[in-house]
Amino acid sequence: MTSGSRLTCGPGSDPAEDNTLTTRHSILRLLALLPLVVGCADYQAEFVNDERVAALETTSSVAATNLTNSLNTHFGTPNALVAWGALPIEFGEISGTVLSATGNSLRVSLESDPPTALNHVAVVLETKTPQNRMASSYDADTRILTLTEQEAAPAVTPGTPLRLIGHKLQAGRRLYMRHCMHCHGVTGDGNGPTARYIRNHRFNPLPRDYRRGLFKFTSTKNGFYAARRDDLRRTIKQGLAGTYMPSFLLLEPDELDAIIEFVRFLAMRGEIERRLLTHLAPLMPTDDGNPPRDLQSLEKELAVDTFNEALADAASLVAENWTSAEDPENLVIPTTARLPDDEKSRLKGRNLFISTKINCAKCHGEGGRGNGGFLKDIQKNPETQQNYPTPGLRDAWHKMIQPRNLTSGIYRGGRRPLDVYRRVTAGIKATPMAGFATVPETDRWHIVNYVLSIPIDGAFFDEHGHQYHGGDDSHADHDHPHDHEADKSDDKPDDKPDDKPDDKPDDKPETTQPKSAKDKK
Amino acid sequence: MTSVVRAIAATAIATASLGLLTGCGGGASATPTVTYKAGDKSVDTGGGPVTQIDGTGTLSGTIRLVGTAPTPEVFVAKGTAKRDTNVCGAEVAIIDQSLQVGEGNGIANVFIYIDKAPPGAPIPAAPTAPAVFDQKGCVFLPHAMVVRSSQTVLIKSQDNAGHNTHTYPGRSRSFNGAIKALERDGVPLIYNKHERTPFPVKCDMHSWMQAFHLALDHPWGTITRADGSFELKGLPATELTLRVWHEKAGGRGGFLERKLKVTIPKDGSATVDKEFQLSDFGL
Repeated sequence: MTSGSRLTCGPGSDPAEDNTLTTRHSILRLLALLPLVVGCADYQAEFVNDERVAALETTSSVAATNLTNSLNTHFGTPNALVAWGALPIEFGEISGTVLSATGNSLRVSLESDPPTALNHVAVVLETKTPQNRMASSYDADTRILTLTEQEAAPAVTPGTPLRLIGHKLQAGRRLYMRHCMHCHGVTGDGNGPTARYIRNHRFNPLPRDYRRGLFKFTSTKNGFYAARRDDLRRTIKQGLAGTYMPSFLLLEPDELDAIIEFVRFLAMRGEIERRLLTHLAPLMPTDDGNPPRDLQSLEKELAVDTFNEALADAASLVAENWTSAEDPENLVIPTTARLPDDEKSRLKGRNLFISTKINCAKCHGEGGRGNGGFLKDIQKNPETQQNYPTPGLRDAWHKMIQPRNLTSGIYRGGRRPLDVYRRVTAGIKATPMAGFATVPETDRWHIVNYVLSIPIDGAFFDEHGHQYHGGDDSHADHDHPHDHEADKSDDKPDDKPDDKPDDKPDDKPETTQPKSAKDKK
Repeated sequence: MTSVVRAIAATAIATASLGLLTGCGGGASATPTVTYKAGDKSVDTGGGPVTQIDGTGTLSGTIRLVGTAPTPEVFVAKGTAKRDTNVCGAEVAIIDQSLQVGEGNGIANVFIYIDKAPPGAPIPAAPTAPAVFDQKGCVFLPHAMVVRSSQTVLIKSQDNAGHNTHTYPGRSRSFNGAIKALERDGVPLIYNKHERTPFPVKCDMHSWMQAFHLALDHPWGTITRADGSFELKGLPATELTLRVWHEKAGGRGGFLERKLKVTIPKDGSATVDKEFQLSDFGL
């Protein structure tokens, strides 16, 4: 089991499965397990390795061990976290000065009081050689910071600067375990104990696996794949409409902040693991399961000689990506206000939507139901260069996804015009949905106006160019691309309005050619 | 029977008390400790004083296949594309370009490059002219290309149909931008980072469309021509380690040779001719 957590309450302990017991025994046994089921909001937690580490272990235990140790050293375990200064994470830092020192007791002056009782956070004493210690408690009244006992008492003179690091990370982990872990897993691999109930349908979106550092619904330009803190905040506060991700609007702002930092911590941990695995990839067993040729020299080169260099490279790339995502320069901000949402604008948007010049309808369908013809093609896995076994679009996690059904009025990335503008402009990260930033901005606003009108006015026109009446779109409930006649017709070369030259003026609604005209082709 | 009940009841009590005693499971509900690890400012790459490499030389050669390559699969026969019919494969059939064997059994589109510029070698500036990455008939042109990481790539299209260009680099940021029909100005893309291996570039709208790019922070990389030949000029005159990479050599992460040692003489030339078996390409 590669679950993101070790479960005390695993599938085998489900008492309902055992029908050989008498009812009385069942009840007793249920009672016996009650503390486990009810009281166990928490599990014996540990970060689990990427699935490929086990395969790596079979050929190079040195590489697997170095990888695991390195992650432990720089990220720790769920119960003994490490705040690694190389990463752009707000671990919760409070600066101060030592006023006096007696053994493990330091009287200190802090820039601000810790938000909660301090308990086992890191203390960095900025002596000539910085000393890493740990605080066991802090009394705000007496300003006494008590350090956990170590062999030697800290040799600090009054005036020594100090930093307390980690209260936010700690709070984030605690809250994450309470609110997020059930779906997203202890490791943030999207494989928490509840996740298996979600993965039973091919289109159900899975809980986000943070380990690629990729997030779909962001406000940054295309190419900036890491999420901004505000993007994560929006998702946590509002949930993702149309998915199992609920809204956590009732969390306090500082609780949200702490969770956001912990999610970023897990994402960066996963990204660094992934990058190190890429570095070590030549050591993986070959397709036939054998060790690679020149295993020994490869092992020395990759797992020993250049390993730390690869780690530093991974950390700097990850840090750069998350830092640049926060840069306001990289936000998608319209330079012109939204155009008036009138029929003329919607028609222009409609014409652009079905135009082969930009091909929205090829995925989203002529009627906007997310059933375009491209869904019938078999795509290639960009990592293995092998075809996926079934047709359809996939995201970066190789999960089958569906272009949004625009008739439903449900938009995962938000339903404000700005949100839709951002989806159109920057695309949806980690999916085939491209950014259309090269389409003129006014045209993008027309598309936004049209897209937002679909749930009200239907798609304006059906697949045959007939105008809908009063939003009477009886197909709107169907979410499944293969349930649709429109879908079938899309595959007939005969029935393709998009293959005729697209040179009509923008302000006339485009309609399909009459059947007879097409037959002449 | 009673003993069974008792045993279960005892288990219940024991488990319950365990739960009370340990806070149920202990582990995750206890406050985690946090220790601090300073970020290393720089990495010691073990380099001592670097001696400047004097002069340059040329490397040329040919990469060949032993045996007969299978006939490439026809992805879309002429005029039969299910969508964008009058654009995709309208003039010529779209064939699988992943293994192209030409005259004399030479293999095209093999990447030959140095992973890292040798220390002490002066690195010529990147060309100011952009590299052009085009598409015609729903096929990327060229199928394989090497660019400088700081160089602008202009993504163009000769097709009267929308495309998107979706890159999958290892170190640079991924790009997924729509390329509108007949885009002749070109959508600029700069990779910005040195890449360790070539990476796929796809069009999600036309599932067969795939190319490979390699972005280097130095000029010493190329691809083999249709007849399998290649030439790299201006290489630092020293012992170099070349990577020989091909998209079909998947079993080894694309490497036909990971460490091909070659010595480049100053103002002279060296030759590397290599032959590979069908099995090297998973055939």
